[in-house]
Amino acid sequence: MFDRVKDLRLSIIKQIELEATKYPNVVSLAQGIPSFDTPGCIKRRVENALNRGVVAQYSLSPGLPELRELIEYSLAKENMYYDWQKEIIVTAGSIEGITATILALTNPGDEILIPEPTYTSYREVIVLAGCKPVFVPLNEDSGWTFELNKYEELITEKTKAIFYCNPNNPTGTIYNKQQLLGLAELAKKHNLYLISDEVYKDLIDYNKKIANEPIFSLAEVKELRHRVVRLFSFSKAYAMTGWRVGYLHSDEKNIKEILKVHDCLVTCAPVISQYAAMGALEMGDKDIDFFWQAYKRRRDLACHRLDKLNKTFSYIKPDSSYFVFPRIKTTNDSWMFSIDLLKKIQVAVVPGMAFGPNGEGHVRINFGRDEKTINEAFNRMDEYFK
Amino acid sequence: MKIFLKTILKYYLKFLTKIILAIHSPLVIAIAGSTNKTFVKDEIKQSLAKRNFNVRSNPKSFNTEIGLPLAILNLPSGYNSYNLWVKIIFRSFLAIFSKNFPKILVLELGISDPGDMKFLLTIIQPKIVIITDITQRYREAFNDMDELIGEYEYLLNRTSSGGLILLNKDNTAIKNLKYKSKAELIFFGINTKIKEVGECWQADEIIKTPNGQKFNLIKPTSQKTRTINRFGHHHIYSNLISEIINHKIDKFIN
Repeated sequence: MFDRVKDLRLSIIKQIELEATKYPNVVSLAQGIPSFDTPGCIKRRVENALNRGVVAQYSLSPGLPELRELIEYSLAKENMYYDWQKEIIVTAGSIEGITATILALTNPGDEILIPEPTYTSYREVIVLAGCKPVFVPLNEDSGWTFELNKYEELITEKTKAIFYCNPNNPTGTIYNKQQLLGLAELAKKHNLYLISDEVYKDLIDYNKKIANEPIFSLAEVKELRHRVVRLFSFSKAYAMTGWRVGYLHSDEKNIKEILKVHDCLVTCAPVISQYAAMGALEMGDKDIDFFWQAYKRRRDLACHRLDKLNKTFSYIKPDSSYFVFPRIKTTNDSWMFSIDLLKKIQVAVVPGMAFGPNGEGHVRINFGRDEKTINEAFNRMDEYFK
Repeated sequence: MKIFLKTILKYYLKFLTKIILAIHSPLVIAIAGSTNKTFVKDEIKQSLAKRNFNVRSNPKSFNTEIGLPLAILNLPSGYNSYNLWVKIIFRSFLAIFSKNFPKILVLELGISDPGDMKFLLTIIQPKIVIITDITQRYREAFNDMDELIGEYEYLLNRTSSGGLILLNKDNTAIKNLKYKSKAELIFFGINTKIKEVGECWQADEIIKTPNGQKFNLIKPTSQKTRTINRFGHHHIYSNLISEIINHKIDKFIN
């Protein structure tokens, strides 16, 4: 009974959120949701689609043609050239895309290398597919960077893919072009797929003065297009976590196979959300700029507050996303530390062990929440750690 | 109230745009169809710009009753902001006095409701008309496909005898269009191998390469190998259309 799921676990992030609901006065900096509502221009696009009566039926399995055409157009602005008819699938958020990709590209028993700490649900999807996650530690001392020799050491005959998140959740690290090309060389040498989850790609480089300077993606390298599957979600950039819509793209050879699984899993992404995604791509640029400015302020606020708690935490300032991942100086047991914070002062954070073995001894703090919430959480911690 | 203001805005922008078009008389290239309008527009614009023509096209997909005038006037949308629209209305008036109005307008025409094409053609009179394809997309507001196809037939019938029509030979709905325009007609297609339809520019021997696509471009009197850095047949169509426009443009400009 339940053999396939016996090694799966409910995400620790969700466990913490569930636990937090027991405390009415809780202040949560746990789950990775932004404080903003979906922008008005996106809602109006959806309202228009609803009024026209075009959302009640399935779309084609890979998604609405007009949305995929828009996606191709937006990808081309970032030097990624993919055919909307054969190389792009609209997904029900990125996690569905990840699941479809791993189920399509791997066989049970395959191994997938994951730089860690990284997003907690990757492990579960890999296990669900009957594969083995192989964690490769990032180097905290050098700012959570890749160490390519460690990948080389861990590659076996069963290794099928390297799966990374860029910018990385929970560390907020952006992997630079040189590091990524190094990873690509390894993939070429050992004939591996590269699965690149880029859901935070619009929330980057808070040290710069303006937003919208795209990060480098291996999906830009044409000779790698048959190896790279790149995923994006509208959740983070456009404050659309509840809409569950994203997309993936790769060479048509891979997409043809991934589409079969996508069709089995969801038939198509929710059509109403596909119209929301169209609104985002057509009119959402200004909102991304607005969010970026807000996250930059909040990142600085969270770091400033962490500086005051320097007896309890040390941290690397994140370049992107809306997470900071401080090391706990007082204990290495991140679960107990997080539960303690929750029980004693009703502040919810995510224990670092959720993100892989190398995440132990840290906590993830979400600065995507509003300033008032961030300040209230830190006020309580100031008092508690006094 | 909102609908009332939108209607006023729609007719104000139309009126102003007609004045400006009457003053400057640019060559209007109209691109209609269910898909691929934006890629075709960009390809034509880029190729004409390389030849130093002063070209303006729709930003994003400003191609409807309000978007099209904004594209011609080179103005942004105010979206849902009354303040922004007030500024745009003021700026639109100043556009009458613009000295550097482009010689060529490359415009997408978007239709989603019956009568849309008729309204758009009360603003512009295209000399060159391209129909990329006709599919079920945007059909929901029409009673049937015939009614949707009627929009495109209206466009073709309004193209004057000195004009040029480019049609996709591979699209079944386009093949069956009924119209009476005496404008010059050129077809484009992929592996069509049809000779009797008149002038047809074709692509065949398409090969996908790691860097894009390679194909044989067959013109009426010659052929050559082309490579493009994009993937998908729609880019081959865009390239064919752009080649035809470049071949014919001097006749319309001089």
